[in-house]
Amino acid sequence: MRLLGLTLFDFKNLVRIKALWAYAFFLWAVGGVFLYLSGDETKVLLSLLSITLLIVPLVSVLFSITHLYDSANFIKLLLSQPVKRSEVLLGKFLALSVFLSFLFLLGVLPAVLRFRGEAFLLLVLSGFFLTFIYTALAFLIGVFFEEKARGVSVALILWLYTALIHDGFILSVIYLFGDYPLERVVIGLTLVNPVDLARLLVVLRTDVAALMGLSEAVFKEFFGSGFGSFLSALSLILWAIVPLLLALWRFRRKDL
Amino acid sequence: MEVLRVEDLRKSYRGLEVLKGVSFSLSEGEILAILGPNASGKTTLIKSILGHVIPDGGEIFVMGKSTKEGEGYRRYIGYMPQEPDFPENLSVGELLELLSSVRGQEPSRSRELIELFGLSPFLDKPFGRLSGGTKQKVSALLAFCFDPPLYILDEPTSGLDPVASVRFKSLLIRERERGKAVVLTSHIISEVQQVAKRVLFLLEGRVRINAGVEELLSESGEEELERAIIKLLGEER
Repeated sequence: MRLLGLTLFDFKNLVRIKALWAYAFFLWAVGGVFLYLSGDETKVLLSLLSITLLIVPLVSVLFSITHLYDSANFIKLLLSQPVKRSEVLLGKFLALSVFLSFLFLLGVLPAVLRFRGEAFLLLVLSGFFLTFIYTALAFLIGVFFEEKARGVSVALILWLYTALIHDGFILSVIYLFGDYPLERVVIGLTLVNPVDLARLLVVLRTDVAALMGLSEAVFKEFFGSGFGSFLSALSLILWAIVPLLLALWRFRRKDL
Repeated sequence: MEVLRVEDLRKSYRGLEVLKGVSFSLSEGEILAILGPNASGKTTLIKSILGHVIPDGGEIFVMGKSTKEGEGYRRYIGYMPQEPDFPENLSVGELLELLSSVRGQEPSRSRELIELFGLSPFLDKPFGRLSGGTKQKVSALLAFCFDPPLYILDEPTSGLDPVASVRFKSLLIRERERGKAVVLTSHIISEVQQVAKRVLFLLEGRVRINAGVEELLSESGEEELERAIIKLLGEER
């Protein structure tokens, strides 16, 4: 009950932050432009997916970590009450990740309602996963780094690497070691990046998987689209849970 | 009755000993001022009592309950931080509701305190639109409204205007008469002299003085607490 109370309290605060609604509006506007420019389901899906893979992690990690640092004094006030540390942190996590997921859903809703396909539902699901994962990662960074400037920098570097640089790294590996069988290496490299996993979750269920890149083609070939989707969803769940548990573990032992 | 007991409290940060075996106790109806220069261990001591800092050694008992037994003991504490910082978009009423639900207690004294600090016009306003002084009054309201047996007040009058400050000190004296125990830190020693019954002076993580205010004044032959402390410390050296 205390956890629910803390979550709802934070939720109320987040709902009233006007700047956050701009996130939903941005996604909604971009989705609208894609729908206007092309009525083709696959093109709209892939365009929205690219935006989702770039923007959702950025907004989630950056907003969550700044919100966490800015709440430090209030967290201390709450922890002067008969409340467990884990309840306070978990309440904040749930409020942030659920509200950011809700805003994401609002933003992509026009496209989802227009096409109503399985792939669009998977797009929504991958957006939810990314929101929970990058909020959890922000919390993990936030409880390990005392200084806000340092924590935010680490969060940005993490986003930059997972959203942009990691794919370049995979390509370099393929380019440099093209003469060797690389399937297992590529699968391993994909599993360590939540953005790639979220992409897989959506594209494996479409006809364009083979066109998207080597990791998608390898996954489809190795696991088939059904098991491949299951494996990527499972890995995404772990990506959200493990950093969150680590953050809770650290927070319970930390001097505030 | 003993409200707070600290036994041989020790804490180090990265090898630097901040508290080197601090012990004292506090009974009901007592106001204890924790004094000391910067880096003497005052903040770490208060944070340890609140459970914000995890001590390396020693034990703290609040109303006979060890703080090691979990967070339940904090229902006996009303805490007023040095810098009140609340979520900008929420109101005093909403925050009272939250604290009431997490403590499982009604804020039985809220009406009286809202009147005392003149907070009625601000109850529905978001915190982001309140002045620093008003936030400090809200902070006092939150600390006192659940009527706990122990108050921990960190520089409580720092943001208050003179009128509110006088009212706050009268409130403290009334609370003392009602049998409440108070731990207080303040930079203004004349203020401490007005309300505190006892002084705990920390220096480099150790208790150097733990004595009644009257006792300190008579022993030193001084009229001001500040001079009395300086004189006693000087004599020790």
